[in-house]
Amino acid sequence: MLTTILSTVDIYFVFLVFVGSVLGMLVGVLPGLSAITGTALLVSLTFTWDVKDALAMMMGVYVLGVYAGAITAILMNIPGAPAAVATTLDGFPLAQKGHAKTALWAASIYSCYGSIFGLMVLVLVAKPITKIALEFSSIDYFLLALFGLTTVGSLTSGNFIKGLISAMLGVFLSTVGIDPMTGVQRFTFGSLQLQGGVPVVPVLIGLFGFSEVLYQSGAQSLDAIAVTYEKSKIKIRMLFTHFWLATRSSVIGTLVGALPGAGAPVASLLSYDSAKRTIKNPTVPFGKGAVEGVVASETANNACIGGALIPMLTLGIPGDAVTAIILSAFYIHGLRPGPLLLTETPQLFHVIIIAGLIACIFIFLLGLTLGPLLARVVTVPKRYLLPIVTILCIIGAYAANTSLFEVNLMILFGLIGYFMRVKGYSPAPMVLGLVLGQLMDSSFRRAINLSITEGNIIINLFSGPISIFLIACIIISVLSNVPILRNSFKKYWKKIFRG
Amino acid sequence: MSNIKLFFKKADFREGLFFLILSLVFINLSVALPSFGGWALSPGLFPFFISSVILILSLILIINSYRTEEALSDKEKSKISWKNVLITFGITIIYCEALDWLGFPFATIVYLMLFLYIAGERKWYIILIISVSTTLMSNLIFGILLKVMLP
Repeated sequence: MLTTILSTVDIYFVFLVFVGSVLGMLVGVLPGLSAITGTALLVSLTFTWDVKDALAMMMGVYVLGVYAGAITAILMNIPGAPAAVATTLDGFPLAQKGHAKTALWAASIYSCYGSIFGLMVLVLVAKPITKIALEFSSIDYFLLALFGLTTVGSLTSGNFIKGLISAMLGVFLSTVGIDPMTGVQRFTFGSLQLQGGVPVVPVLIGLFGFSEVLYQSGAQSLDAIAVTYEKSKIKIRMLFTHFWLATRSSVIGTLVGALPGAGAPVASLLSYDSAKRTIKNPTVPFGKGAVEGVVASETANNACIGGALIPMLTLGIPGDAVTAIILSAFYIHGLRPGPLLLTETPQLFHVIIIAGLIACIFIFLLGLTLGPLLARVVTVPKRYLLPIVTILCIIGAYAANTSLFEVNLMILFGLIGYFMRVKGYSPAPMVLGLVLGQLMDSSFRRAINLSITEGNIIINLFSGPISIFLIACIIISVLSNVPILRNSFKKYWKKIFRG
Repeated sequence: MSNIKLFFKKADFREGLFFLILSLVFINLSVALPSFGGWALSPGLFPFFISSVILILSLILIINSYRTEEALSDKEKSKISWKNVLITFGITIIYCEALDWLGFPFATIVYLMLFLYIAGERKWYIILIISVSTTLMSNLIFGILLKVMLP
């Protein structure tokens, strides 16, 4: 392990993580842009790079992108990313009281702690999970991907059915192109460019980047969201007294992150809620500037990173939208994440861990130096930023395959993404569906074909212990989203606790 | 009668209907695919399965729309400036077409100037500075430093 670390880390590697971290900070502080947009653009730009270099930069963007949302959340009451919504609840009141730096220090220290915790859990559990994953049959992979999509559908949009429709449309899109099993062209309508399938990169950039440009263009005001920044004295000693809360929040963050689709926004809100319920005597009441609120939210959303990487690296199932993009980067570089990744290319697993840990150091260094400066980007009027983001989207979409067809595809998906956002359909499930679709298709047909030759289809398909467990997970995930069942279940539990 | 009229006007109902028709088109396309070596290996099997799921989901969306309240009120809808969205989309399409015959630097400068003007910027020197500097910076960072092919 140590020799791998030493052979991986050189000045150039650290520099790439640094550049990624700065980019992550930038997309993190800009409301609307997030680590998702940042990594989506990077996939296309790093297409021709060595996979190690590309991953180093992406991890920088991922880790810092999640953290940086806290900077504007604290200084300006504007969460730079959805993961930082809970941070605004106490971060901004702290800043208003003149303790902006205290809040920023707390966010930096505990984001760093949460990230390291999540990555360490990833190191510890990756091998055992990989061993279990090797026992997976074709139908298990199909069921696992389906479970991932049902949880994504329920957690990324307010409406479960809309989330699932978005995911299923993504899966359908993944079937476009030449069928790898039979060589038949599916839904290409004679287009040569679509024979290789719908390219992921332009779809990603369109759904997350250009759709944001259109969404902001449609807003009434394109002015800046300027707020003042107060200076304050830091109570450093006080900051180091929350490690028990941070550890608990890290556990919540890692567990939620490991659930496909849950992601940092859910983790930070759950952790904040848990802290609010359990801490009886916070420094000041929650919601009025309690450091504990910032600690709980920031530790959990960054611990999510390690958690979300667990299913992606061990099973090939992304834990959130960013890991779905990193997964697509693996595919673009000809690699296939899953149980064999750790045995066939363990060095890439180490690259991700090491780049993540280096990025944790940059959370601390950049967060306290560059953070307050970058927060002022929010004072730049949106009308200046939007055209620049559009140019980046176009360069990104073109760079992957130097094709104007992909630029047009990006614009088309930008429009689709825009309407999805306006109508309440999250684009994240669509991306996950597109990424997971091919795995689902091949596993589904292989499993059915095998079970036909062995006799009874249903018994052969769903009799394994892993299949039964995954079917139970899917049923629970779907049923928990039926309002009548969810409400009666809540009432039942309340009765038990009271009784 | 007025209740039924209201139901047909609901966004969820219209969206459900749209996805219902879309799923039927998908099913039709999936069934039309040639089949080799039995139905289990057929290239249309999986798309057919997914289209059927979309069909069921769209039906649920339609049924649910009858019971639920309208999520986006007319007041909220009016907050969206459709004109700006359409213009942004339109000029971006024209820009992409112009890239082929104008080249990246010139097309980008013109596009940025137009975008900034439409977005409300009226100071000509700011429009000029942002347009030219963004084009030069993209050329320098992506084209020269990162060796990325530009359109």
